[in-house]
Amino acid sequence: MHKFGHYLLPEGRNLLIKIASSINKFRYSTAKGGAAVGPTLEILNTVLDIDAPFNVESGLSHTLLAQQFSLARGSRKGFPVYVYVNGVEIESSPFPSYYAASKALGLSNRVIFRYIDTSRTYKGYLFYSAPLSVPK
Amino acid sequence: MQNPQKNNTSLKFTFRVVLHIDDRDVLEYIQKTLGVGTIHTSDACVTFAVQRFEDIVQVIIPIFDTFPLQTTKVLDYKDWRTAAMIKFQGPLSKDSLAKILLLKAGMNQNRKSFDSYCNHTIEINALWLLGFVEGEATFGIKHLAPYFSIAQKANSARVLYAIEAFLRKIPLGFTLTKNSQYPIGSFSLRETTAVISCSWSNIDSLHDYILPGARARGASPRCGPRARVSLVVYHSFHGKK
Repeated sequence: MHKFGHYLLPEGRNLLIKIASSINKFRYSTAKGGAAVGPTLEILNTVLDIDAPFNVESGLSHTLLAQQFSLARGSRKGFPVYVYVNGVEIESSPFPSYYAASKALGLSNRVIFRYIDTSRTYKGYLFYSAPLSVPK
Repeated sequence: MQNPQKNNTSLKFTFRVVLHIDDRDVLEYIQKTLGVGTIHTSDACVTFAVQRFEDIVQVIIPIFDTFPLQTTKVLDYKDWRTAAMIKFQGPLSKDSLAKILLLKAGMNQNRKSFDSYCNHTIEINALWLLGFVEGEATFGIKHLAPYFSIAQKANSARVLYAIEAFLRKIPLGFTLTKNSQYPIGSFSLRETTAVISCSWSNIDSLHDYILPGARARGASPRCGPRARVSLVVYHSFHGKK
């Protein structure tokens, strides 16, 4: 998914989260709550069947392809960030960019990138690229 | 261990492989292939053990003589082997028993000196590496990015350097990306635990070199997402009445 860029799509990101939470220590039968069940082959194929965001045949490296994709999505302008605490959007939200959100909250820029749209909290914050009422 | 000198007991040698209970099939395969040893389960672990001295001498030792270990575990193996050979030569004299006890006192967790490991020639090949990866490596996802890493006690760092050098030379398996970055490991040392790890996280390296390399060498599906199998091999011997 990283090589072909699917990880940058919401579907790919969700799939990645599912995979990450079902491998290694989560897969053991002795894991707390039992062995995690990973995504089915059908789900994997559904995501991988989506047109790849990266044109790997261009011969460009992953880094360059990721940069190109990001610019094409308008990264120069910045992406909006909606921040929630306990399910309630905080006062200054939405922020116009990852940078603005991270600066206002005193967090690293990378934190927003890592946690956005993952439904995982960081220091009590939840980050989304669209208002919570919009289905992800 | 009971002290053989004190209560007139004999020495017992054990070779053990301990895995998570989910990997019992692997140990059953090993047992069936070697035709020796027993398997027992305890809590979350399953253990394959060879204790019959004839099996140790005729089956286990020849394997590790032919396919040498590469980490500092080789030092424990050498001492264990030396002790086994002393026993193999005949009834134990007081001197030979003392020699064995001295060897045992400096083995495994009691080992203080690793100097002789510097003289050990490390030879990495693909099949050895595949087995090592099964036991010691992790294919993981951190911050939603994939990585591959191998960790070892710092005194076995040489083997990690050798693996890193070996992986730099594996052939390119996916050729669309021009000048794809060959695998370069990133080393880090955790001082509190004296564990050194080498990680590969460059997407092009992982996809274009390491993934095709693992497939070509017949890595099982378990070796993919589930390589965090704790393969621990112990050599020990203890007194038995």
